[in-house]
Amino acid sequence: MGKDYDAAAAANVRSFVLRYMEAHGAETQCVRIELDQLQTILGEAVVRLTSSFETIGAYSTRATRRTVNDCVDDGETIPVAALSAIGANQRDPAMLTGGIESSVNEAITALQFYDIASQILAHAGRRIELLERMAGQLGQLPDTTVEELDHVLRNACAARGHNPAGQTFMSVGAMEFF
Amino acid sequence: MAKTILAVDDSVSIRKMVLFTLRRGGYDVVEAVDGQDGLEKALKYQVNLVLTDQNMPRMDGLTLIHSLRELTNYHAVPILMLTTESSDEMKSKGRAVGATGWLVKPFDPSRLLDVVRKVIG
Repeated sequence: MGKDYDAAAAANVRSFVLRYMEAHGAETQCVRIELDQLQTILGEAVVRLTSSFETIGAYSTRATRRTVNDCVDDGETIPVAALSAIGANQRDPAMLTGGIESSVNEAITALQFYDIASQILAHAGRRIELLERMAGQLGQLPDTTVEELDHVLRNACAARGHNPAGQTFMSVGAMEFF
Repeated sequence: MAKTILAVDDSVSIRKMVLFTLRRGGYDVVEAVDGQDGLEKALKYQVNLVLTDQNMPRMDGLTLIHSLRELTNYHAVPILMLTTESSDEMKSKGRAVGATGWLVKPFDPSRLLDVVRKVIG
């Protein structure tokens, strides 16, 4: 009687674990799809931003040099139209050039977000793979032994690797000479 | 004559930002999409400086540096790592294979140019 009861309980647990794993699998699949969606959107955005930046950056650099050269040659102040775009307080050609250079530099630093973001997304993807493998093994309980589960866990963690991007802000990174 | 820099990175956006920065600084730039491509370009062109990422498909940055240091004409060429990796462990590996310096992304263009000028003039 006791043995029959145990078998029924085990079947119930197994049924529950399978349903649980199905739900878990569906959720991790959704997370994977959303990460892919995010990667695609970020990728498209960075292509557009980079393309715009290259055009604006090249144009502004040439235009600034020309404007500054004109100002220096003619001994005049910077045209009002240029001032309105840059900031009316920068009437000094050197300050105008410096302002644009500084903005271009900041844009170059900020536009590196995609490289860092995509590495973090890739690592999140590897974590999901690990969760899926772990869930897959749990779904085979009680046929899987604890040793087998432990083996899967250790191998999966090793394959997942470390997150190469520890950055939490877009502040400029350190540099070091050897 | 402008000095030539080999920029190795699998990220198109990073390559474009590096290219933009270095060309503004008056340097010629040869691009490579990963370590393997970097090694092939290094054999094809004699460059004055190599700037490489670490995590790339086919061949990573550390392997590239190790391979370059085995080539006679790259014994003394400065090689800088430009990577998201910032752990001491990775930097030690970089030093061990012969990297000249380590820069963590994101880079500031002015600082990158300062470093490049300091290394190759």
